[in-house]
Amino acid sequence: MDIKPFYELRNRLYCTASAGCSAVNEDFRLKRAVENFQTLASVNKAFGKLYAMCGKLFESDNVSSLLADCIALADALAVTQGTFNVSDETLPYENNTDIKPLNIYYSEYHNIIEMISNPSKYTNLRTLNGKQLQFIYDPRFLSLFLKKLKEGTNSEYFGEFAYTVCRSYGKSIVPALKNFVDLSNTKANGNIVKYISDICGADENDWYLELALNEEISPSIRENAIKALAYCPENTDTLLELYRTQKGKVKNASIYALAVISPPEAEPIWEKMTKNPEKFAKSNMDYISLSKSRICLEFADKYVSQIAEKLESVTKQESYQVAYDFISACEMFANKPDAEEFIVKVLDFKKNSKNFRNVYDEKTYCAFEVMMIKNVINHPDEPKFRELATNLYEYDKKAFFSSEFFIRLLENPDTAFDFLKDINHEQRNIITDILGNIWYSRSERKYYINVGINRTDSRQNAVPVFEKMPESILKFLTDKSFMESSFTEKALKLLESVGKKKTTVQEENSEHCEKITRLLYNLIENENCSPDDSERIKKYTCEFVFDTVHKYPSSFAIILIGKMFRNEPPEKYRDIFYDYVSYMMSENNHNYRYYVISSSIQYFDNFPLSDDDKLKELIKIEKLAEYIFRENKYPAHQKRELDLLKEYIKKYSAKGNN
Amino acid sequence: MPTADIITEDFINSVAPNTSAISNAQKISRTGGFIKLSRSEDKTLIFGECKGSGKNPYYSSADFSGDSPVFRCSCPSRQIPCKHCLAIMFDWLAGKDFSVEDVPEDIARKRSKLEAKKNPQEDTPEKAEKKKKSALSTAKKKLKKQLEGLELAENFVKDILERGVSSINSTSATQYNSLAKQLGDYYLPEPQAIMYKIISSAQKLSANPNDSQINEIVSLCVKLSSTVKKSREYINSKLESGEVLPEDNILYEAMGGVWKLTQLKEIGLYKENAEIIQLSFAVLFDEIHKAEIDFAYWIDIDTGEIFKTKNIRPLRAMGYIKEENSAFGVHKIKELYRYPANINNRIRWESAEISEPTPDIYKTIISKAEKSIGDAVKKAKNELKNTLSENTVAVLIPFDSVEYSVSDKKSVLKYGSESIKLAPNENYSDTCNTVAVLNSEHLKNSSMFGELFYNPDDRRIYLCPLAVISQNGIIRLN
Repeated sequence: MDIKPFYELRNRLYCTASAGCSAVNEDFRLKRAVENFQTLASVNKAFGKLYAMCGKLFESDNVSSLLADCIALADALAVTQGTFNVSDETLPYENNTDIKPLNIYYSEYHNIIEMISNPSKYTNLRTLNGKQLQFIYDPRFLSLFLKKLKEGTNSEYFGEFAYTVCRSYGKSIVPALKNFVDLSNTKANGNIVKYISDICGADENDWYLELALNEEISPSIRENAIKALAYCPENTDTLLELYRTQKGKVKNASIYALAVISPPEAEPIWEKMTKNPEKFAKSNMDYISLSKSRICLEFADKYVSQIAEKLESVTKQESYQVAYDFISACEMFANKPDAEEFIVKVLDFKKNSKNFRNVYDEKTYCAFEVMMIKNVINHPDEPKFRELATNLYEYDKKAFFSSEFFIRLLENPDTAFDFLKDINHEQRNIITDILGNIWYSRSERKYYINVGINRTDSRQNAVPVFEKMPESILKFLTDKSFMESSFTEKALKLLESVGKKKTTVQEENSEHCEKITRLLYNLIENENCSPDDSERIKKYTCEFVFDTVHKYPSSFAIILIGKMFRNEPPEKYRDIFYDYVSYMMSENNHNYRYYVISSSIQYFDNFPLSDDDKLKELIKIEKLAEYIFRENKYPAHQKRELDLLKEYIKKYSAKGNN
Repeated sequence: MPTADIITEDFINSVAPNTSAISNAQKISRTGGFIKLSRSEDKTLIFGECKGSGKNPYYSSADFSGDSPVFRCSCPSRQIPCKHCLAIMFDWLAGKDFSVEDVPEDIARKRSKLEAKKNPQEDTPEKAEKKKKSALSTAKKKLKKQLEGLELAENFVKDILERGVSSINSTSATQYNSLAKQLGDYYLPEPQAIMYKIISSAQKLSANPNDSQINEIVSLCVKLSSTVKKSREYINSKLESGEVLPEDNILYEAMGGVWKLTQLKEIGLYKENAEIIQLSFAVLFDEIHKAEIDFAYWIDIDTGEIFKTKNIRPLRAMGYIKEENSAFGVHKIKELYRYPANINNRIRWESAEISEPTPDIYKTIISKAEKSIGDAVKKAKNELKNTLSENTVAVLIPFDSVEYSVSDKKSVLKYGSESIKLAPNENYSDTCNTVAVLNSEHLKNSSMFGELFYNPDDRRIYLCPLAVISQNGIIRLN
C-alpha cells in the first residue's frame, strides 16, 4: 500500500497550522491533499477516521480545535506506521581498545567530563590524581575524549593531557584514533596524527606516507603526517620530493622531518638556509637546532658570535632583548654531538661579558644543561651525546652538575648518587628539585620524571625512569648528615634575644628540611608513588620526620605525624607541637604566627599523647602565645588563636578531671 | 535499633544534599571544627558543638533512634543535613574521641514528639467524616477553578493556530507570556509549562526561523489542545460522579496534582518487597521549569518492568534539595510506590536496603529483556502515539550483535532477523559515540537498554542507547 498521500496530508496539516487556519476554506493545497487521501481512507479504518475529520475542517466553526485533533490523529498514525528494520549493509566493530568500564558516581565523573568539555577548565586537567585518572579507561570518557580530539584544540593543557591519555592506552587506542582522523574535512585538526606517531613511531610509517602524499586532505593532518615521517630515515627521498614540490606548512613540515633525520642529501637545504646570516629568519632556528649537520653547527657558531658581539656594544637597557636573542640562538647547538668547542666558547664569553651576566646569569647554564639531558634522551643509541655531556661536566663541574646528575639518574638510579662527594647546600637543593619532578603513573605502573632542572609541573616531556622507587633516592632524601651544624636554641629563647638571627647554615638546613618533608609528603599523601612502595616510603619518611621535626619543624611534618605516623611510642611526640608553634611564632615567621595554632591544632589533637601531656604542652603554648601577642598587632587574629587554645585546654582539663 | 555504627563514607554520601556540602564538612572535620564531641550510651545519638562564624557554637547531632536518621543543627542553613551534621559523622568515621553523655534534654523532647507523631491518635468517626467532607469540598472547588483555567489555555491555542504559528513575533510572545502567567492562578502547572514551552520555542523561531522549530511548536499546540480536552472531560466526569479524589489516571498529575505516598498506596499503586537496580542515571536540565532533574531508570529484577525516578531541583532552591547520584547496588524496598502511567512508571520509596549485586542478577536482568525488537517497538508505539505521553519509551532489548552501517556509520543493533538503528536523542547526545568505542566482546550477545523514539523526519523508530547489560555487569553509556 502506497501511503505517500497520508504523509502529504500530514504535512499539509502542519503547514496550515503554521500559516494559520482562519482561511482554511481557501487552502486548496490542503483540499487536494484530503482528496488524494480518499483512496487510502477507504481501505483502512483509522485513515478513514482521519479523512472524515479533515473533511469537516472546511465546514467547522471551530477550525483550530478540529485542526489540532486532526494533527494529533495524523501524528498517532505516523508513529504506528514508523519502521525500524535496517536494510543498510553493516560491518562488525573491531575495537580492541584497552577500556575498563567503571562503576563511578555521576558526581565524580561529571567533574572530569566538565574538565575536558569546557576549555576554561583545561588547566584543571593537571590536577587529576591517580584515582581520577582511572576514569580515562571508561568508554564514556574515551568517546568524549575522541570527540574533543576530532573537534581539535590547540590548548597546551589539553595537548599535554591528550599525550597522557594516549600513552596510557598505548597502541590499543590507535585504531580508535585513526577512525577519528577526518579525511573529508579540509579544515580538520591534525593533532591526532601527532598522538598516534608519539605512540607508534615508525610502526605506522605506511599510514603517514599515505596521508603525507594525499593532497586532498586537511593541511594540518598532512603537516603532522609529514613530521611523523621523521621516525623512519627511509623516507628521505619522499621528504626531499615534498620539499621540492610543496609550499607553506607542508614544505616546512618536510624540512622539520629532514632536520630530524639529517641525511647528507639534505645538506643543500641547510646551506641555502644559512647562506646569509644577515637574512636568516628566526623561524628557521628550530630546524637548525634539530639538525645534526655540521653546516648547521658552524652556522649556529657564527650566528651566536654575531649576537655576542652585538651584546658587548649595546647599552644596558638594550641588552635585555639582545641577551634574550642570544639565549634563543644558543638553542641551535642542540642535537649536535660535536658542539663541545662551540659551547665552551659561549660559556667563556658568558663569563667575561658584563652585559650578559647582568641579564641572564644562571639561565644560560640551564639552557645548555637541559639541552644535554634532551640530547641523551632523544639519541639513546648515540654515545657521542653522552660523551659531550660528560666533557662539559668535566669542563665546568658546577655549571653542568645538574645535567650530569639527571643523566646518571636516567642511566641507573641505583648508582646515580655515587659521584657525589662533599655535597654542598646548593647541590643538595638542585638534586632535591630534580627528584621533586618524579611522579608515578598508576595506569602505566611506572615512575616518570619531568624533563627540567627546576620544579616543573609540565608532564608533556616526561620520560619513564623506573618501576620501583630505588633505595638510593630514599636514602639520599632522608639523609640527615646535613644537620651537623644544629639549631639548638628553642624559639622562645630566640625571641627573647631580640636581634639575634639564625646562622645561614641553620636557615639553609631549615629550608632544605622543609623541602624534603614536602616532597615526601607529596609522594605518600597525593598518591604519587606505587602502592608497592608506599609502606617503604612511609617508613623512611617517618624516621626522617621524627629525627628532624624538633630542630626544623614544618607544617608538613605536623600533618604527617597527626595523620599518618601515630603508632610511635608516646614519648616521641612530646614537645613536637610546642617546638613547631614556637618556631612558627619566631620573628622570622611573623606573618604566620597569627594562624599557626588554628591551622595545625587539629593534627596535634590526633597525636597519641595522654590528655595530661597534651594539656601541659598546650599550657606552655598558651604562655608563649600570650608573650608573643603582647604587642597586640592584630587583636582579632590573636584573640581567635588564644580562644581556640583555651577551648582545647578546657577540653583536655575536662577529660583529665573525668 | 540502628546506631551510629552504620555511618560509612557511602552512608554520608547518600544523605548529603550535594557534593559541596560534603567537601565543606570534610574541611570542618579536617580542621577540627568540633570543639566538643559526644555520644549517647547506646550510640543512637552523636552530638557536638561546632565553632561557626557567630559568637556561640552550633549544636549539631545525628540521631539514629528512629526508622530513618534525623539530623539536627542550630546553624542557619536550610540544608538537611547541613555541613555540620555531615562533619560530625566524618569525625565519627575518623575515630575521634566521643565522650559518653546523657541525651540532651531538647533532643529527648524532640524524640518523644516524633514518636507521638508516628503513632497518632485515631480520629473519632465524626471528626473523620468532617475531615473527609472538607477535603471533598476543597477538591471540588479546585476542579471548578481548573475548568476556568482550561478555557484560558484553549483560547491560547485557538489564537495561535488561527493566526498561524509562523506569525508569532516578539510582541505577541510577550502577550502570550502574560497569559501563561495568569494560568498560574488556576492550579494547572502542566498546561502552563506547555504554554511556556511554546512561547520559548516561538521566541527561538523568530530569532532563527526553520521548519523543524515550526513543527515542534505545532506539536506542542496539539499537545496542549489534547490536554485541555481530556482534562475537561476528566473534570466534568468527576464533578458529575462526585468522586473528586485522586485516582489512577495520568491526568491527575498532568493537571498539577501532587501525589502523596499514602494516596498511591490507597489506590493500590505500590508493591511490597520489590528488588530494583539502577540502569542509568543523568542530570537533565529543564529549561522551562528552570530546574535540574536527577533522572534515573531502574529495572524490577522480579518482573523486568522499567521504572524511572525523578528528583526535581529548581535552580532557586538548588542548595536545599538533596542531589541524587548514580547507584550500583540492588535496592530491596519494603514498599515501592508507583505513579500512574501505562509504562515506565515513576517510582518512589522511603527507605531501602542496598546490597552488592551478584553475577546472577545480571543474568536475570538479561532474561527480562523483550522477546524481540518488534515486540519492544510495538509496546513503544502504543505509548508514543498518545499525545499526552512522553516522547520516549525505555525498553530492554536483547541483541546478537551491534554493528555499524557502511553508508552512514550509525550503529545498528541486530537480533534474529530484526535490526534497529541507534541514534542520539534530545537528552542523550553522546551515548551512541560511546557504543562505537566499546570492545567487540561487549557488542555481542547481550542486552541493550535505551529509549525508543520516533523521528518524524525519516519516519523511523530509533533506539537511543543508555546501557549495555552483559553477564558481568552494567556498562553505562552516559
